[in-house]
Amino acid sequence: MFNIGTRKNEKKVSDANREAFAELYEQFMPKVYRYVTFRIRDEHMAQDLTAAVFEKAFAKFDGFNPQKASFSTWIFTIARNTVIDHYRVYRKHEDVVSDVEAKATAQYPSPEEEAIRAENTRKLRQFVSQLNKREQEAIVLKYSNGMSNREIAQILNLTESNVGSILCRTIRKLRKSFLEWQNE
Amino acid sequence: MNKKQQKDKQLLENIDKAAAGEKLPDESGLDKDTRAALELSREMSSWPKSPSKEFKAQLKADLTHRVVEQQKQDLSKRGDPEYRNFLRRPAWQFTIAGFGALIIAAIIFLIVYLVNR
Repeated sequence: MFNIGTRKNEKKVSDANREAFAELYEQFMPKVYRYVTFRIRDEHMAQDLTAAVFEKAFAKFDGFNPQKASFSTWIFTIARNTVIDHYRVYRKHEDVVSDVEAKATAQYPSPEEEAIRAENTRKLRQFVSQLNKREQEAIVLKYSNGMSNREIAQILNLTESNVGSILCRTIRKLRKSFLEWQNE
Repeated sequence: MNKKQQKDKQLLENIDKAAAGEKLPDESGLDKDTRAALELSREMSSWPKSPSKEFKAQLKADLTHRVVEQQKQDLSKRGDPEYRNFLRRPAWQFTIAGFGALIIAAIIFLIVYLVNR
């Protein structure tokens, strides 16, 4: 569909690619942004990284082969690598989103409840950031966009049942860590 | 299916619902651990943010600008494809060949005329 061009109709195919990309942008940009904001604390940085994801995707789009992978798998692989590169550069492994906490706590009436909620969120984020890479990815993909286990499996190159096991195990692990921290 | 597998299946189904923002069924039938796990699921589902309309539009405009720039670069590298295609049209090529033949015939005629004069 996307890459069928001969030299003669190169321009025509390229234009078709651009139109296809524009449609996919509308569909996937919010999803990619949600994925990035799950992992990056700073909103402006999350915007920059989302922009970087789509710039890379646009630059490589002529090489995208839908026979090999779905666009979802392809774009989330780029997003994942972009976030990994970001952490590699900044060497930040803890991604606590302070202003998400602020917004999330706004519904709590008393300052005390707000403070407890913010602290719980901060701690839970810390526990998530301490998970191994595979567990983190499964959690982020599941909770940032409500992806099915099959979609996550395609992106992480795992089997669907593997993803299910990882999610169950990870949720229980988080629950255990959280409970231990609360009982300290 | 053993008890642990059943619990895992139930947990996964409820995780999917929580992650998709769906309302969960009556939780009183769930065991304590599953309820607690779902509490964390709901919390994590609230973390990601949707992009603002401004950011979405701005990024789209930036990418569109990039497309236009790329098209300009392509044109300057390869020449105007419309112009190249025009030159390749058979009617145009036939006209040029006809004019060429006419000029050559005129020159020959002129030479023959001058020689015989």
